[in-house]
Amino acid sequence: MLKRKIGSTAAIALLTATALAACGNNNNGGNNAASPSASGSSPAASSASATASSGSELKPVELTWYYPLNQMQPDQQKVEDAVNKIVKEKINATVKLKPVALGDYVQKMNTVLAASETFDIMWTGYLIKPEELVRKGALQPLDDLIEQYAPALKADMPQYMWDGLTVDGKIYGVANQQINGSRYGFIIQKRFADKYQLDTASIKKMEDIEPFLEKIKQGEPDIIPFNGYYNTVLHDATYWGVPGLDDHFFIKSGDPTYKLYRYPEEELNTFRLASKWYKAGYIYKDAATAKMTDYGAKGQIAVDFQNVLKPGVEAEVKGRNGGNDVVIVPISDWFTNGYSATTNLSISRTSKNPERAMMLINLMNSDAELYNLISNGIEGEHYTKSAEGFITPTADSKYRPNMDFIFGNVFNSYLKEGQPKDVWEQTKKINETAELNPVGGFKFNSEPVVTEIANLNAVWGEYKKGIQTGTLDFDKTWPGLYEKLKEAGEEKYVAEVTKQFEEYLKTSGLKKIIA
Amino acid sequence: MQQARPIPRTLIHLFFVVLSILMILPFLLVVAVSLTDEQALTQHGYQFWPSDFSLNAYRYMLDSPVILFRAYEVTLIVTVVGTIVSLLITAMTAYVVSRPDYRYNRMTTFYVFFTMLFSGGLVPSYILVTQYLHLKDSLLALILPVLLSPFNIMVMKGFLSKLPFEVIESAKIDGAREFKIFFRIILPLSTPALATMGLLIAFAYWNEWFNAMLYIDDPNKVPLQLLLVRTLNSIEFITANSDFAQQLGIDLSHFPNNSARMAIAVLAGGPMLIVFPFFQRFFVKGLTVGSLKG
Repeated sequence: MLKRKIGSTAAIALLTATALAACGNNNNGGNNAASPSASGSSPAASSASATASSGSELKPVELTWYYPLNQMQPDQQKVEDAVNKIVKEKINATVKLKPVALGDYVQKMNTVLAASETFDIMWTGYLIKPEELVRKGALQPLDDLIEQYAPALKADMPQYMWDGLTVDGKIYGVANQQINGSRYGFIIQKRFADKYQLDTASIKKMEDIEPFLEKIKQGEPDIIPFNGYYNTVLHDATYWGVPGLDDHFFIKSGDPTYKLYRYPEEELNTFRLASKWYKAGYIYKDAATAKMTDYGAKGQIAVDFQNVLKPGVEAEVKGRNGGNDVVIVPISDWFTNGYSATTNLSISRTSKNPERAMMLINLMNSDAELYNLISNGIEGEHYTKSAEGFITPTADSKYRPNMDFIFGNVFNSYLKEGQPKDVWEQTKKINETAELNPVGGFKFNSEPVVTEIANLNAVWGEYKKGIQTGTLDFDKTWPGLYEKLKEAGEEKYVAEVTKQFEEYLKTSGLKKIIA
Repeated sequence: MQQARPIPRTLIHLFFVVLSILMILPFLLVVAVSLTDEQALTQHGYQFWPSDFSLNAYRYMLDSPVILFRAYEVTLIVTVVGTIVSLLITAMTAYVVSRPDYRYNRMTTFYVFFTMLFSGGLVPSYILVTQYLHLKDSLLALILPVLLSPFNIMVMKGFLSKLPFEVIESAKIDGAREFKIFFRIILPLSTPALATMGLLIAFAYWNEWFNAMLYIDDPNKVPLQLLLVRTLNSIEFITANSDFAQQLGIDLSHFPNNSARMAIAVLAGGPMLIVFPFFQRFFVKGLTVGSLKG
């Protein structure tokens, strides 16, 4: 009896102690978060420099950051050390950089996320959209963190970009600002444009380039006149593509009823044009199977069609055209679907130090030195900077990721040789002024029709290259192809899209409900 | 009958000659392509005899030899250590389940066999390796998961159970303990099986890249095959997602071209081709010497 009593008393005492301890911990945590200056007398404060006044009170942490790279860099460790020097000084943290090969990124990250591994920052975007990750519960909302640690960034970024990263009313990523708009047209090698006196001003639509292609075919037997249409045209004078679908849904510009069009004639005409040009010999006979980039790299393609003719693109594609100068001929104005979460940094749900991770993201977007270090390497060793501020990678540079948009705000990057000086001002302006797709905010939930989508993709995968290059005669192929699409579940898919699209029109207030 | 004999023999020879040529040709093509000038490749396609001989691809690969040598080192360590340990454990396990006087013989066999049909799957294995065993960025993560293959155990067991049990009994009578029986009697008797197993296991380790992709982030611990797979994957990926590449302005001109890819293949596969004949000789020898006489 007595024994028992003692036992229970002990248990109660133990419980109370635990509870008290827990409270104490909570209090401590709360204090730390609320007023970091309270613990300002830590030894770190004296050793940190004056510039890091905010960092000095922070306890040192290690952050882990996953991102994709198209090639592993031999000098990765060297750059990581240099990065850590800056990060340590600014926010008293070290960061473990974990680049993953681009082709492995999705699989690796899905495994890491499924295993609930502890890490802090990951790149999200085109390959692995924040929205799907949020549905899996992999990311944490950033609203409060952004408010507290990155207010300047919040104000600097156009609101529609934040909107693009918002899922169920919460923000799940910080966009790496870069060009956000499209303008399609032709990239033409300058030597041919000059030789055959191409009047670039006369080219307003795709068909207008035809006489020029004919001249090249006659005059340059070793040159492939036209590369082929590998990009779908998503906006022209009459149509807007509906984003997030399979690129074959359109609405008419200025149509108040927002009627959906599937495979409109205008889209199909592009393919017809490709067939015509293929027959005329403007497109390489093996274009559907050959690796056209190889021919491009040798300067053997006279005219290419591209979706994003951004400022400074001339310098960027020079290498892809065998080092020949190019002229660009846009045949559309700038337009955008809004921000479709193309390239961002997000914070994992498993992060132990989300506020420090946010600070690092903020730093990546605001500190030009740090940003350029991680995207170009160490000055003098991996690149040289000319007096005008242009950078050139050194020969055989051992750190040259060439993927600036992975790390942060591209507007902070040093100018590359050949880029116009005001390239970022121009780009910023485009981001602000591009014509916005009226239904750009539509987000399709593909879950009810995943099977159909997979089947449709399989069918398209079989035919796509054939009709984009015109190798398959479009008018002969289309009836059979359409038949196959129908078998694959075309109708069910269209019905689901239509249903969700109608709902979207109602909820977004685009379409007035007729009472 | 006697007349007909020589004809089938030449036919058989012919058949195997053709078969061997079919197997050797693709590899020769890979070597040839790796030695061809890139420009010539675009113009004439793949050729058995390089129309424009060039060592550029190898120069490109050996440009940063540190990575390549590191990768070789890692692969060699993993292969050698892995093969030896794996062989030993496989043989031990198989020996135990092959002994007819082991009472839980059937149950243990089934336990091993069961994992051939059902496995934990990717995510649980990942959790086990990274969060319980803490093997991330450790070479053990490359060795342990491949250490025991149920298939190998089954093959080995098949071989061992053919050894007459009387051998073991007589050894026992002579006063040998279990370990001595295993190391002195069983292992020497099963050299042919061990050689074959060893070869299979060595190949598995040499070609292993998936575990490395999952568990290795440290660039100094990347095995050779992962290096190869990464390069190929990235190229595939970029060509398959050209929209993405264009939109984000990824410059394709820095990617290794065709001949460089073949050069990587030669560098990654080459050593195995040299090692194989040695193994084979040992293997054939083992076959003849190891069997019981009388």
